[in-house]
Amino acid sequence: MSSYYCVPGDRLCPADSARPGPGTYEKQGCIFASIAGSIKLNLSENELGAVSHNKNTSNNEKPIITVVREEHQLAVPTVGLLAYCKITHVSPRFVRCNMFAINNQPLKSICHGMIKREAIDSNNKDTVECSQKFRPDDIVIARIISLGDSNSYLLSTAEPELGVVAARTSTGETLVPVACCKMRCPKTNIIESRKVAKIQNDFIEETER
Amino acid sequence: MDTSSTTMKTSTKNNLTSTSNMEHVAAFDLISVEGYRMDGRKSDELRQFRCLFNTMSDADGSCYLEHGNCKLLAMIYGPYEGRSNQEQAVITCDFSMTQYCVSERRLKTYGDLKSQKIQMSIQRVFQQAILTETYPKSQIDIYLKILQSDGNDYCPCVNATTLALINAGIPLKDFVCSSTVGNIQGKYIVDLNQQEEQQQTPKLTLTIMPQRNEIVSLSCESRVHAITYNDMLDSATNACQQLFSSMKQAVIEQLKTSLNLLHDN
Amino acid sequence: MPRVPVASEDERKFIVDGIQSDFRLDGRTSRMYRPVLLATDVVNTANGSCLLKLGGTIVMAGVTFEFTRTSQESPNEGRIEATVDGSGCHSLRIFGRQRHLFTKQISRSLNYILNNPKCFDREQLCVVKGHHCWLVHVDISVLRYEGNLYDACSFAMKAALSETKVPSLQVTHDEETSEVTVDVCDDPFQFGLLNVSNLPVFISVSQVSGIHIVDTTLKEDSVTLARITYGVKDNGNIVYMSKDGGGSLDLLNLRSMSKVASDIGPQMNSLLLDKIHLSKAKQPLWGHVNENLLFDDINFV
Repeated sequence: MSSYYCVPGDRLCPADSARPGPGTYEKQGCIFASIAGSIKLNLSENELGAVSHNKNTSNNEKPIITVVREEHQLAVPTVGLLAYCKITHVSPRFVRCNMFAINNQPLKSICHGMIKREAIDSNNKDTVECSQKFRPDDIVIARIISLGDSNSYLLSTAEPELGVVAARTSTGETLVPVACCKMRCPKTNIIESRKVAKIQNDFIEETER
Repeated sequence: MDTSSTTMKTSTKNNLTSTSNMEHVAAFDLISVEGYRMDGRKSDELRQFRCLFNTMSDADGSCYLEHGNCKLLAMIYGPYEGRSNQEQAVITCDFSMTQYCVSERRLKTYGDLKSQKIQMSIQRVFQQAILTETYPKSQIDIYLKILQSDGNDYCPCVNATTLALINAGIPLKDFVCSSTVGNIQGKYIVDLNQQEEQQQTPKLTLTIMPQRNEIVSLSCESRVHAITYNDMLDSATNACQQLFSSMKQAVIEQLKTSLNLLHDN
Repeated sequence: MPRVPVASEDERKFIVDGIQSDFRLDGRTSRMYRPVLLATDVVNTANGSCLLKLGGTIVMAGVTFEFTRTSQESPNEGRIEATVDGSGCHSLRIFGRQRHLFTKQISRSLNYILNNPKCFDREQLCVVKGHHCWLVHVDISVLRYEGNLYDACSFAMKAALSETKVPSLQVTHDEETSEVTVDVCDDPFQFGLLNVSNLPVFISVSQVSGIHIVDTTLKEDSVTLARITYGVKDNGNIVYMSKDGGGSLDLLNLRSMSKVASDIGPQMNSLLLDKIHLSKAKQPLWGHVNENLLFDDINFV
């Protein structure tokens, strides 16, 4: 590993030789460090889920310069990232939830999120009933689509890979997914309807990054 | 100095036409004939500067600072989801002291005029220094506790907050260093202690970002002659640069130990 | 004891189950205290000071002296008062506005034992009988709260008082004019010490589902129904007792809780005494700068 340490305010390089990544900022044609840590140069453009979604149009050839603190990185809700949340409230028009982890990093304190009815499922958008998709206490993976208003972030599960990953029946039995919208209780064989997440291998990799 | 981006917030410059000779009488024995100050320092020497990181385990970043006889704790909580809906992080500051931090026992430890003033200025200084747009809709709390005071409380508070913010990993534009300079017996002495602070002599408090050469805040609440003013500013800048090098050393030292620990495991 | 909504229902059950099998969250048994770490003489501006860690709870105590006149009721006694200050402590914020009541409650309890002549001899604070005496302030600042602030404050108070250097005075009595003059001695090596051997420490005993535990953490507080704070002297005598918490206790419980307190009280008293002696031995000589930083682990015993 590199043993170059920098402190906030250190000038790292001119702005035309690299792109500023996390832990740096650009000012007056130069890239400066904004946190204390070790300097890393990344050639791959797929640095973070959010960054790759929005900005891989131009200057792909430039390396990204980042400053990393290896102790812990602060998880901040950002548009495009995946959040783990627990459903707290289901109403006909929207579902409220508490986010507790983002991109497999636990949050220091929970953030409030909201999934609107239109953002629950990608097909049959108009006939979606919130109570048929989520129940309180379900654990859900959702993508942050907007920073929302002052109360909550806006989330979406309108992708096949997103939705309920863990749920229990009212008696506390763990439900087993059987189809994209069904879960079964292993003891009583009662079918409950949920928006089930289709977990894929490459998807697990994305959340682990 | 980079004049284009220089932000002068509080600048009270008193241009006097008279000379400043009378100040020399009041503080006659503060500097010895050999040029040493009461505590044995030279005129451009700082007090001993030592710090320790991660002192409070529940805070996101914390720093215990000993600067001469001044002992204080700085703790950072956040960034966490705040109440406001602003595009940038909101910074709050909570300053308190102990009753026994000064030799004359204080009745109030929190919320008096002096601490409100410090709270306000810390808040303003770090609203500029922190890259607040990185954390929209969030809040960062700065908690400062003076355990033992040695004259000026504002400067060590700024320095400790900088170190604690770096410890918390909150992106800063640059370090923020603060120091004082006084003019006693025609000499510019830096980093005043309590005894020197009490003298009726010109004093100047300077807060800068040392690597960008920007003045963040500058305050002077006494009469300073226009000629001496520039020299005082120069020696204050030097003091801040000295302070910066010891702060940087402390940060890198801490960084090395924490990274080494990580790689050993 | 302000209630804090900490743990969820499952977590609470886990804590209670742990206590019932005598294995608490941090591995302690029901009668064990968290480790006590002490550093004395930490602040130069106070006559006596200490920094005390009881697990995650960190308090700092400072003793300052003030010269006043004696009161009419007790002409040969000095005055002493304790305050607990929770300002600037982030972890006390969970109590909201109640935190001032909470700290006030603790200072009231501390003042009670300080003003009990069986616990603290206030005559040693008298300078000239009927004229002058010391007013001693024991100020305790809470730096971090993680349960059991009562006990931590009483430990810190005892440690700070036992380390306090009383400024030595020269009293000259003029026989003819019957005037008394008091001069402060300049010699820093001349100082008196306070006798705090009788001063009790607080032992808080909590009841959780019929089991009595000491030194509850913040998480355990959320399952605690009732708590009694005892002031216990080094011989095991109980001199102070106050109950808080919403739950009710029957006499049988009360009796066994007192038994727990009078068992543990002497242990904690002697532990604290040992720590004070060790810490005093560690102090640098007068005039020497302490090489270690205040919060450095080396500084604590």
